[in-house]
Amino acid sequence: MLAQWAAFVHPALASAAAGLGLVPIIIHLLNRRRHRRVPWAAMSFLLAARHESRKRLFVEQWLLLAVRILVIVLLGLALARPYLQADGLSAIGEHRTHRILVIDDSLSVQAVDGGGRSRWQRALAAAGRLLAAFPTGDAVSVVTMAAPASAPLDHASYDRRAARRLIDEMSPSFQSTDVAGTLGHVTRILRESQAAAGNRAVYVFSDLARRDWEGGRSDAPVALAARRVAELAAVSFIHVATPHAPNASIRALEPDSPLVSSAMPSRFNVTVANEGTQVLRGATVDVFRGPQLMRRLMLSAIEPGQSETLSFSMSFEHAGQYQVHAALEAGPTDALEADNVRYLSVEASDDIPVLVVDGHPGLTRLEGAAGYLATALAPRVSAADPVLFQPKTIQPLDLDAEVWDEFGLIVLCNVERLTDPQWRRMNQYVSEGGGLLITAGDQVNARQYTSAGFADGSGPLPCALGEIVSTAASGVEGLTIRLAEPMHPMVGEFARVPESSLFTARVSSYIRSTATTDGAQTVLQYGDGSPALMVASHGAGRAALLTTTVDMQWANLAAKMDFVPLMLKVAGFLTRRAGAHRTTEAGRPWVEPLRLGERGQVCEFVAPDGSAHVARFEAEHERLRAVSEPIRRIGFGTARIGSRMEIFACNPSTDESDLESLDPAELESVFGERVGYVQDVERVQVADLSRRSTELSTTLLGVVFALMLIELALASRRAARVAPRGGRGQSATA
Amino acid sequence: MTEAALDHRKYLDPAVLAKITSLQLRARLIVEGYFSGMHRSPHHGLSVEYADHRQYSQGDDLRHIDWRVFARTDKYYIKQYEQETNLSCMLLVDASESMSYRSPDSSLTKHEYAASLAAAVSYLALQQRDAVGLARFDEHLSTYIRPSNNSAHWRAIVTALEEGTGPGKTSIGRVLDELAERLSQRTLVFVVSDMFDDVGRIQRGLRHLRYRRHEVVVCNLWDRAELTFRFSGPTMFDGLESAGRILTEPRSLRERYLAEVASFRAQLQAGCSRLHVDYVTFDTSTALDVALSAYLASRAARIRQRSSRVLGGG
Repeated sequence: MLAQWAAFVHPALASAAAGLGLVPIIIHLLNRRRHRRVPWAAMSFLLAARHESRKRLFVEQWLLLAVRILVIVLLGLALARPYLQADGLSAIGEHRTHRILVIDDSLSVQAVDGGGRSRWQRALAAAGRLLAAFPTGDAVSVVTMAAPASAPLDHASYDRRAARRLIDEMSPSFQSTDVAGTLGHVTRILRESQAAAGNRAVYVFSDLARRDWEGGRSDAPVALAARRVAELAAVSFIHVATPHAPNASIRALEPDSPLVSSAMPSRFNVTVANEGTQVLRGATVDVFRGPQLMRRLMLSAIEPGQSETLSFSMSFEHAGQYQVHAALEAGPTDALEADNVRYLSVEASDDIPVLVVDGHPGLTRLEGAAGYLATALAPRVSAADPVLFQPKTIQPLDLDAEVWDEFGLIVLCNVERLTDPQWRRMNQYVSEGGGLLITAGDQVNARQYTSAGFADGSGPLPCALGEIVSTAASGVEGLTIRLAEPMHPMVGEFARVPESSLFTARVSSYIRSTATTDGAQTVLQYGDGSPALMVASHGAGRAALLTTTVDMQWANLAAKMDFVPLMLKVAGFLTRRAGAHRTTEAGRPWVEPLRLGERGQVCEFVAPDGSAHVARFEAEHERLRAVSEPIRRIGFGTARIGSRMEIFACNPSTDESDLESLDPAELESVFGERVGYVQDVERVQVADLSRRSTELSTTLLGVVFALMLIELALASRRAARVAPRGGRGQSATA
Repeated sequence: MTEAALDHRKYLDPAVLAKITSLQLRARLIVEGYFSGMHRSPHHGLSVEYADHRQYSQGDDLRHIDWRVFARTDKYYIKQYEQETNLSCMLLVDASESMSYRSPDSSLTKHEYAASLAAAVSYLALQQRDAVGLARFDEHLSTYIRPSNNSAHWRAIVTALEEGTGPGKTSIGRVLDELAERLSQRTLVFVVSDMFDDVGRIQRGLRHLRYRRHEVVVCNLWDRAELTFRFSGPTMFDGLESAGRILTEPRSLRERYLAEVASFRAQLQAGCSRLHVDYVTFDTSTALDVALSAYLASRAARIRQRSSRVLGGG
């Protein structure tokens, strides 16, 4: 019963104190054994004296003995640091404590920074130790923090063995930390708890990554959720990490262009970050295609907090899906190895068909509105040169005759208008993953584009079109083009080349854009700040609008050297089936858009760990998608829909590579009040954690002091009584 | 006090007496010491019991003329003493087991002290031609020697006194009754004992003796340790006379014990006083001649006062 509301920081000392309580009794018994024997004649007086004093002596002796025993026992107990548990005072009686164990199983707890033991091992050991130390009869729940947070034991369970088994069967994930989800689960469990308000305790076993707790800011959303939890229960943290563990990671592995061609080598970028506090030297990155080592890249020294991006090229012999991954070897000081690998599912394509609709065709190829563009998409000197895109130029009247789904991208160059059915068809085409690029010109009916193509934001156009703006009227020679902020990754390469001819182009006219759709982004803008190139996602596809011409009518952009790479970048970004989307992150589901004719098919996912399950389907923008269970292991998985099989890659969360932890002050800032905090997990005790635990040592020492005074008084009184007095007991001689 | 007397007195220290194994020699030393301290005492020995006055007649010893009476009445009166009436003295010595007690600080057991006292008194009496007898007892009278004034009688008394103590318990009340029945003529009875018996029973025995007109002197012997009880530390007290045993911390009982002893002595003294019995306490660490002469001096003083009252009234 006592153990339900009180315990000791040093239980061994408490046991020793109980043993020490026997010492006065032993001394008492030994003294009785070590008496001397004397013959005595005046026995009747001694017997009478004893009879008269028996009651007083009994009380006095045993009271003194009891006080001495209490002094020793209580002193020992005080040294054992007894405490009332958080819920102790109110737990007396039939009330039980509901204890919620929150275990961080995110990627970062795989870090080894504690004397050869991983954070995960330390967290499990501490959780197991605490679980064993909880008083019998207390209820336990378990919540895990890896995204998405879950509550494998979401009710108040009294089955301690089951809880222990559950914890023992856990393993660290490759996922990020879902603090908000975790706090949500905890709040829900606490609100459903039957335990009294003071009988709820939450124990969080985590490395307290600063980034997960939004830097410890007291005004962050997680702080609001944290305070709700703190209002409902006593919260304690078992910090299983060292504050600054060294770590290097591969932050990214991606193709330079979204389109990977089997016709020519493709460039890839791999980015390595140094998350530690020391310079990273001598690290290497091995690049594999399938099981085959393709490249070994040597990294230069990387300063703390910095990253380095290396480029390499890789060829793919034929069209198809390839498994590419990069592995970092950063040396023994790297605390977290799990983030040293990055997977990429690459789909290499033969040349991609592009349908170019020329709204103002000329006599020769370059005289038309789409001539420069078509040339830029397939820049070949001879017919044998490999190209990435295979443009097919048609006139607007021929648009309906084409099978649009055969093209990865449709380009409308200075096309006056599309009919409403064509806009509806275009809407569906883009929604299902197709790409649409619209370039302006004097033929364009802005009103019709806006009403049918933009359709108040429901159409594929990223913005509504306004009037034509000409610089000739204002006497300006022409507007320059610059990169918009924030910079779109599509044009990132130009940012590194300030002398790019893109920035020397001059634009004399453009169509003003007005309202934009949600999520539309300006990629390029003119010198007057008006958007030049805007992109927006629409369903599974993307659409872009260039507000000037791609011939020489309104701008000389088409004549610039960098027009070709710009168009290739734009086309690559817009084209359907760009490979970048075939990568996901641990903890998230894989989403496979269904193609036409796949409705009703069964979709089966095989996760990287080999587990298979049937997908569920959900609709987005009237388009069906197959959604897997959250992928928990990193590597390559497959999605099979009918006869089609897609390979996807699952990577570790990049958020978990930063191993910097919150300090206790920041933690309290988040929770808005004092929380239990222990870093020495090897010696974690319930007492160290409980914010509301009451240390009784001081009280006990006070009691011991009072008892010692009582003992002194009793002993003095006794000594005064037995001390000889003048005149008494002397021989009375006649 | 002369130098010779001082030399003699040093043998009267109980520690020295204890080394003298011969009780006869011990008793004589005590008596000699007593006399050397008395010098020229106007009282003659033990049998100084005043009896009466009578007119002087020729041939009377002039030393016995009471000059105080002569000064008041201008007539010669002669003091008449019991001595002249053949005083009989009986020494009743306790030989129970409790008398064998001797504390580490004492030289003599209570019984040895009692024997020395009895031998000295008997020697003194015989010196004055008084009849002396001896009775030893524990629960009953064990030795009984009739009073006699034959000087050779002293050897028999001393021989009896040299016997040690037995295992018997002290039962004074009963023994006094027995003695009262045995004594046929008026006798001065010396009870030499630690008196460890019920006060009521003792008083009944004394009353019986007094009823038979015997004069009684109670010599209550105590060892110093019994009077001070200065023990400390856990102690097992093994009671003599099969009185059981007690394991105790004596300091915690001392106050109460001393109160019990004081109460016993007060009751005994009060009872004796009521019965006109002399009550004398002897501490076995005190020199015997000092204790003896102190008692005899006080007794003589009492007799003189009684004599004065009689003559003053006459």
